[in-house]
Amino acid sequence: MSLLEGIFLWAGIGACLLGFCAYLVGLVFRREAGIAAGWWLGMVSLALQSAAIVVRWTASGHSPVVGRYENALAGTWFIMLIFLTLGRWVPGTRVLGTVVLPVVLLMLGYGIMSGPEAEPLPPPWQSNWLAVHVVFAWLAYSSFLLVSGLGALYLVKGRAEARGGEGSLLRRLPRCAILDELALRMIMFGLASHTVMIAAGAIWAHGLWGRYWGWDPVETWSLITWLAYGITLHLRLTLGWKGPRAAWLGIAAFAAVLVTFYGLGLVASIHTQLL
Amino acid sequence: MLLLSLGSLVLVLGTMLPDASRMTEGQLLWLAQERPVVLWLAGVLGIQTVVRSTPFLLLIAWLMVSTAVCTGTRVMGRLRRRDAGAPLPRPFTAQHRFSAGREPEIVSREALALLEKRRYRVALERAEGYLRIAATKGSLGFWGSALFHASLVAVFAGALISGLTRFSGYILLTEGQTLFLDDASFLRTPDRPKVGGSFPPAAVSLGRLAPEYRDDRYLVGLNADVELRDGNGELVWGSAGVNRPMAYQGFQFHLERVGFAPAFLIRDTSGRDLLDAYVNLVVLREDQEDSFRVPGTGLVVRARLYPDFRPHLGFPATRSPIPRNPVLDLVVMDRGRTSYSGLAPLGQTVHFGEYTLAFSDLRYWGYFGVTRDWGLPVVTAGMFLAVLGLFVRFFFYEKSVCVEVRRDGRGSEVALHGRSRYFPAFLEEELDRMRESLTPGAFGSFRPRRIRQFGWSGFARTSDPANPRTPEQPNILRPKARRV
Repeated sequence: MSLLEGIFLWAGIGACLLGFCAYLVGLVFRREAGIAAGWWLGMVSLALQSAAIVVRWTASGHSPVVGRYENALAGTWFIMLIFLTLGRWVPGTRVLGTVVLPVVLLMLGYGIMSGPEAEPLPPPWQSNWLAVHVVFAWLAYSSFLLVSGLGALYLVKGRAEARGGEGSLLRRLPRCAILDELALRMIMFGLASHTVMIAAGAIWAHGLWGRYWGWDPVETWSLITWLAYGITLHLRLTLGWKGPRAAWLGIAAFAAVLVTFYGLGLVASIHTQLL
Repeated sequence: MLLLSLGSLVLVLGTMLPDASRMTEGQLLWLAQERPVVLWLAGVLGIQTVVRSTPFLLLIAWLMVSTAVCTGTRVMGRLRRRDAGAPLPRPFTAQHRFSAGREPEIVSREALALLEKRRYRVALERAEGYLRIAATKGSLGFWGSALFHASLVAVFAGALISGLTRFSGYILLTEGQTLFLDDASFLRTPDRPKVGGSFPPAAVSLGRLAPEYRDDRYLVGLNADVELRDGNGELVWGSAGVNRPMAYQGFQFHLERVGFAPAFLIRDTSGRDLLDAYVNLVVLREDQEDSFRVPGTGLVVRARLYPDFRPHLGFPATRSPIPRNPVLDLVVMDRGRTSYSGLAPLGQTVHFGEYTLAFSDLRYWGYFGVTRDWGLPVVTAGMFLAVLGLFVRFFFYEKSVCVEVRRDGRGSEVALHGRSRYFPAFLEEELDRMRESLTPGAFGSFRPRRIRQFGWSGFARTSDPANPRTPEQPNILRPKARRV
């Protein structure tokens, strides 16, 4: 990691940490200003992280896709991007930062601990499909993370509404129906991105291994994730599922993403031993 | 839905069991001794077994037929309804009725401008003292969904074609070696296609294999020069690398792995050659070694190669994976007893007992996959269309708005109705904003960039009072469908 990259990265982490603290202050002391400050610090963090990515990209000569650190760097960037875009579109969802910012901090911490040395791109990764595959994977996973966050918010707000005692912050959230429909839109976007990811991966795999699908654990779980969200979407659109059970479904489906991304690093897969 | 859930469950179960096809013999042996039940389950329900089983293939076929039938039915129904001009009588999901204390002409213009700004397709209907604007958008969303489901059928069909026509085999070639490709020359029996020919007769030679390293450490390039001579003696040559396959008569050669192949020359005291061959070393990890038996003797050679030899703390080690100073660390066993143990640099001969062993040359070997898949173009096209369909579905979703303006004394009475099947809450908010814009004093920040310049009578041009359903009017917004 170069000095410049380190400066941008640690400044970004600092902004993210401060943002999280601001969110906590906002939640604990019921201060709207805390939420607003957390949101703006999130913006600052994204800008600094973008600078860190640009510096690293320039230094290594390839997009940040190799190793855990680069994946954490790129992944958290996409998560922040989608969260901030959603917050810009529906301001009531900015409180989601209480969940998103610590997730980003944890992911970055895990990445830094795994070794941030820049390495050249190994031959199996030297494919134009790699960028498509990775970008859309992160778009999909970030969307699915937000689907589960929106589901959690729905449940919290719904429960508070049922008790008839909404706090000032919960009152600032969008209506439950809007949260529900936002989750549906995020599922649609996530599923479309996930499909691009699978398609790009399949084409890449054909050039690399001579087959587009081999039922490798990573491939199979990526299909399972796709099916999980496909089923969720069908239940919502065709059978009209909405409300708490749809929210729970959105949260539960995220387990498939976690298994695909983190769980399968532990098993023997052609993806983890490309050569 | 049930089929999808069942398929997912089978896949989850399959991945939880060990995959016997990816295990070494030692691992399989251990599993057979220590966990025989797990091994049995893996054989029956493991992912590689399940996906090749008849019930799973039937499930896929059923899913394909079901998707095709459902999509066909939906599309036909939609087309029939469109041709008959009979929409589904669905109720409005949101409505507002309010007084706008302004002239109906102004309110109508503003409503029209608002809807056009939001890219609605609008149609107007006028009667005495009454104007209705019917607006719809997002009808493309249905076709996105239809395209996605039809594309899934194409993907299934492509997978079926792959299953019937796919050829897959692996060959191992050392630099300079020529191999006549037939079934015996493939490392494992190749997957032969049920339809379409197998690999055509050809001789394949491996020229130079050149791994490229950066900083003497990171592998950054891996390409091999391959030469093919077909049955007619025609020569085809090209480069087959990792991620850069070489095409030959519809087949693809791709490089998967490389390794070192030292040349061993073992002679006895009479000068008879016992072994004169390149031996492909597979294991390059420092804590493991390769071993091979010398045919016709009781000799077993255990070898570990240090490509760029340099001792480290008194132990053999390598500075880089580049063969600048290759040295073999050898242990030769003769009928179970160690007869030689030591280092042998390239070009040197070592003596032990009644034998000599020369490390005379060092080359690379390459492990190539040879595949052909006629289903790939169909699957790829299907996936591209599926992606297109999904994004169309995401960006376009049907909603309709109906604005009715009636003269009410000096002002006007406005009724706003809207329908969105999947996003009624969003539409409700949209109608709220629209109401705010149309209510006096709440025009807010909205300033229509372009207001169509026509008068109250201008509306009559788009509507025929004798036949209220004019061609340009979306027929899904009939007043009878309204439920207030």
